[in-house]
Amino acid sequence: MAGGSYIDIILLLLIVISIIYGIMMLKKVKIKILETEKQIIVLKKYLKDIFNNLEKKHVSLKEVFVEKINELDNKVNELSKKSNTIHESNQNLMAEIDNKTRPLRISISENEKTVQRIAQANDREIANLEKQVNDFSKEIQRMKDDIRERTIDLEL
Amino acid sequence: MKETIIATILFADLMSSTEMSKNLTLHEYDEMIIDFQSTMYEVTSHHLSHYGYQGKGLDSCWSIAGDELCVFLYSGAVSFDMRNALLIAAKIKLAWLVSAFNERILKEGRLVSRVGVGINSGKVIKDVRDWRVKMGEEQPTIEGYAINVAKRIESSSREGSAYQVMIGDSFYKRCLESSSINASFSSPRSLVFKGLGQKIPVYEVESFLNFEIVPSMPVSMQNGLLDKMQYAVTQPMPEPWIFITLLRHYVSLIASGGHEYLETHAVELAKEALELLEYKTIIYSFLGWFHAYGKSVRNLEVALDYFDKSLAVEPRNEAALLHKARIMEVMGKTDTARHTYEEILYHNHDHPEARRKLAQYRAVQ
Repeated sequence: MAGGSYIDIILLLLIVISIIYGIMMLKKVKIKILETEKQIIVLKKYLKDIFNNLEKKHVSLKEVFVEKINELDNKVNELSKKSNTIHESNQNLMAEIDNKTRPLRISISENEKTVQRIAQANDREIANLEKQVNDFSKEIQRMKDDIRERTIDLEL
Repeated sequence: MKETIIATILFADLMSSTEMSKNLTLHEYDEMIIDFQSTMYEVTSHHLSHYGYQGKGLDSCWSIAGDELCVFLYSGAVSFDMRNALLIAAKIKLAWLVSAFNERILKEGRLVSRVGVGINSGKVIKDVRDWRVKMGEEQPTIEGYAINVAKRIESSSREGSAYQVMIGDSFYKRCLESSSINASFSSPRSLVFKGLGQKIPVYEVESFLNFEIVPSMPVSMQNGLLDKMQYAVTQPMPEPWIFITLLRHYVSLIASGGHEYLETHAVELAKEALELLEYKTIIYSFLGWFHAYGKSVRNLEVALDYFDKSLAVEPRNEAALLHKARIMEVMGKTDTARHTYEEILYHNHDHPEARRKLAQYRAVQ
């Protein structure tokens, strides 16, 4: 009996010790859980603040955006009006130019051969003038040579 | 309408043609006359047309009969007519020298047949004669004493030794007054001509410098002309005028550039002419010019020596003085150059280059 008692006592002690350790650990966990709960509450509050801020910012940004869009829209409308005016003006101008140049274009078309003839005649005239200039240049050279030779005649 | 004008009259004929007519057969003589006449025709007609004469008696008329050519020039510009008469004289002599007839003679080594020329200028009557009109010739002609004198003067040409171109006193005096004619004449010879009854001074052309002689020859005669002239001066007793005409042409070629190779030959020819010709002044001028303005033979000391020789014969020779002054200036002998320019101005107050140079010297002082 005595042998058995010691072992039982030791086992009992071990059980008691492990229960005490378990209780202590449980207590620590409870404390940790409480601290964590507090932190969660703090975090929730922080998160709530953030969301509140974001909400405010979003509203503000949305207002600015809407305002800018409206401005842009006005400008686009304005430009569109101007563009329409310019386009209209160009159309009128083109029509006017078309009216005014029509006789000229008809005349050019009709006189194309005449123009070609004139161009050919001009080419001939230019060639003739070129020849005259060359002849004149040669004549000047001959005159220069003549002057040089006459001078030599009188200086010998 | 009858009018008094001043005309320049030229007669040219074939020298010793009478003697030749005795020695040649009728056909040979005729062939010679045909060659002579066609040569005279070609040169005279080309020359008068080239120099703007209208002909038809308006400002000139000319004719060829037998072995004689006569040309009357009366454009109104006497100096122009005189210059043209001298040019025609030089050109017909050159054309006859290189004619087919003389070419044969030259190849045989005999003395060539020559053309004698007489030139005079003076007052004549220009008129349209009735009898000519009746013959269908309505163009005016000229008559006068000056023509008779010119004909007599021409007959004395065989006595010449240089150009055998003789001129009368009035032509001589007008030439001296003209600044555009570079010709030298011999001392006067007083000759009595048949029918004129008094002594008439006659001068021979000793040199006539004109750059146009060779270039203005008819185109048909241009081919090989220079070679023929060069050959003629190598033959025995060459005529003096050929040297002067040839040397003047060499000067033109050298002055125009690209004929440097001719310079040595030109100097040698001029030295040869110096030995053969009596009138040496012009040859000294040629030699001076070649040495002063040539490239391969340029030597200012030698050039100066030749111009000095020219001045020793003719101290008032303006051309030689001018070249001397220029050479002195290039050599840096300013005092001598200035003195020489002053000498030019002393004889010719209007000499442009001498005036300009002396003004420059004065400005520097």
